[in-house]
Amino acid sequence: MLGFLLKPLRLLAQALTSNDSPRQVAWAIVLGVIIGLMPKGTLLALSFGILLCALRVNLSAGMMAVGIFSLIAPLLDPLAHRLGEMFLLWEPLRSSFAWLYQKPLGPWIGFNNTVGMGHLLIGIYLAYPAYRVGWFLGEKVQPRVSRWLMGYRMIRWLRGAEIGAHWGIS
Amino acid sequence: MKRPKIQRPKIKGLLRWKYVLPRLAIVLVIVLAVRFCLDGALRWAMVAGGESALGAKVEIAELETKLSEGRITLRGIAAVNPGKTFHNLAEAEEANFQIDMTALLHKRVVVTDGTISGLQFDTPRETDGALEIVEVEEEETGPSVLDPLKTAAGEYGAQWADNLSKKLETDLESSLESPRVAKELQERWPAEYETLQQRVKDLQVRGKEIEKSFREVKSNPLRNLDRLQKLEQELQSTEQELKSLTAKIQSLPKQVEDDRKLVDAARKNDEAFVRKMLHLEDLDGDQLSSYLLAEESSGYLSTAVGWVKRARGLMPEKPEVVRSRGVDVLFIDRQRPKWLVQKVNLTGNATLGGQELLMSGMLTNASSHPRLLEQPMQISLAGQGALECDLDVIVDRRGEQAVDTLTFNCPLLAMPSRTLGKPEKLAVSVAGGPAQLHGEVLLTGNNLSGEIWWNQTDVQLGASIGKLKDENLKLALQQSLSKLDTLEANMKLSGTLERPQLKLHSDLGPQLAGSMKAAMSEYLQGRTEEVMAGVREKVDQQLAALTQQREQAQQELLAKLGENQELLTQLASLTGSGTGQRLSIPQLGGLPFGKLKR
Repeated sequence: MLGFLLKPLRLLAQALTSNDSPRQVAWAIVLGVIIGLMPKGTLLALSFGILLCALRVNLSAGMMAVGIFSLIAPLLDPLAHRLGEMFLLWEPLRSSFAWLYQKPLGPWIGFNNTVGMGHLLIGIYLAYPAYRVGWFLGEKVQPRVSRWLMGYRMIRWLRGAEIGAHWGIS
Repeated sequence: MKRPKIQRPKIKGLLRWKYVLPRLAIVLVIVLAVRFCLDGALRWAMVAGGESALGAKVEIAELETKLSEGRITLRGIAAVNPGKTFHNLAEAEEANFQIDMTALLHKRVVVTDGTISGLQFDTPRETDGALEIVEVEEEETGPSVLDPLKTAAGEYGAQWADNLSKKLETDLESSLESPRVAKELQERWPAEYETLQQRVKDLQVRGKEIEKSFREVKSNPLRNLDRLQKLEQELQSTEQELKSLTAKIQSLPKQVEDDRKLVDAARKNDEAFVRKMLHLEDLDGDQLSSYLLAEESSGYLSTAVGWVKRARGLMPEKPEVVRSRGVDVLFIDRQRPKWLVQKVNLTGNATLGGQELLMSGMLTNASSHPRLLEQPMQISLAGQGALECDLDVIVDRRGEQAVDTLTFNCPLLAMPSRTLGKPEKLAVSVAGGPAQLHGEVLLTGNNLSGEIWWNQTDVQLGASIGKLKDENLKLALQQSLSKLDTLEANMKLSGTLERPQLKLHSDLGPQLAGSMKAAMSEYLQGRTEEVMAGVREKVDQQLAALTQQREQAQQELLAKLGENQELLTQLASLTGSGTGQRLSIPQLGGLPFGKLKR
């Protein structure tokens, strides 16, 4: 229970105090933004999730981005729907979409949902800005914040608690 | 103060193998689990889903899947009837389904072909099939909507039989007028005779008194002059009485004639009364058909409606609109249902008319979204072996309104012996034999229409009317019914599924009514004549006896009056009352009194 309540703080502390490179932080945030925006329960969202976990990126930063953008996503649904609808019904790509849809597992991918496609497009659109922000955070902000935060016992405890949580003692 | 620069470790590769490898292992375990545990999981899912939908236990003894071939085999399937938990709604020995794996990868379950063998309906089971957790609400088994029809028909037939019984059991003789009149006449005569006889006696006494008085007057005429005048008056009054009595006695034969007329009038009234009492009320053939066949017909109707309801239950309701984010763009020419059973062959056993029959058939086009299909769902079953019959159920949900059609045809349905109507009132026993049953029931929306036709040939009928034990009547009825050899009934359905209406037309009622009326009329005519003949004979005997008694009395009384008349005539000649001369004293002296002595 305590672990559940402290998890966001741990993630934040880890993201800010880890030794990952700015690029790892940046890619994690990019993936986190895309996953956070997309409706879950599709092969596409699952694939991005696997990527986030499997790639050597800052997992904490990525998970934090997923959390934040999952909360923001419903606010963007109307825009995503219009965007996705326009894209999916765009004549030059329709035959390609139809081909993909009719392939085995096509309906499971989830690309044919207007909101899903819209959020994917928004995520892709936000990928570069997110990367830049992530890079900036990793390069400039994180080292300073990390050093400052490590001076606090609470942060050290949170990091330790995280280690403890991994071992199943929290 | 300048802070030291953070030393970051060098990235060792793109993938986080510590994460990837355990996950790959987990995926492998899942694949193996699916391979080896799919059967159990699928069986659990089917049982849970079935129980949730049915509200009673669903049992699958064994389930086997062959993913490479897309085949699923189920054995020992039983679905409990939620209304009767010690009966299975349906059970099957084995079911094989061929699943379209490509469709499954497209998020659809399509059974392209299948077989359900050993199918049986409404079979008893040893254990209770109620769900332990879910409390099944008992259906309110209120009165059937067909009960008023059955009650009305039953009341009509029963009332008719009661009226008939009452007519035949009434003591008609005690209500007739002519025996009563004859009896009254017979009872009145002794008093009349007594009165006449008394008057004759009185006359005799008065004559003797007058004679005696004359003797006394004769002994001293001068002294008894006043008495003489009184005697003269008494003699005249006695003569008047004699004349009156003689006239009365002589009129006795005429009175007999008057009495006979009175009895004849009463007899005519009696005949009218008896005919009225024994008149057989018209028996409405259609009402009689309803009375006799309402129970059986409502049984057919209930079965037919039950089948339609059951077939309706197989169909999913309008698909729920799942609220989801966005809209799914389907890159296909036409939307397809989530699940579809294209064709399943059915084989099993069923019981119809008490006869076991082998059954085979086919279920086609059952789906989650019937509107998306070109053809409606259809169940076709054919009975083979001892009993051949066909059943077709078409459940069409493609349009705005649900249209369900049920057609059945049994050309040789072996009907058992049975009794139509109420044995304690009016009943017709029908011997067993082959019958033809054909029906078409159409349900558009909730409106019911259709026709059920039933025909039994070479039939032997017997009738009984409640408490009537008259063997002659039974024989007459039996003879009338022996002319009937075919029973035919036509039931027209209307109303709604919840409140079906039944209009019954059958030749049984009119034929039976005709036969019964003929037999009953003949019987009642005979009974009328019998009653009237009996009464007539009795009254005639009474009248004859009365006539004889009167004749005898007339002779007897006239003889007695003759003696009185002789005496009075002699007295009158002496007194001169007959000539108008008054009685004088010298005449008295010369009276021949010796002649007056008896």
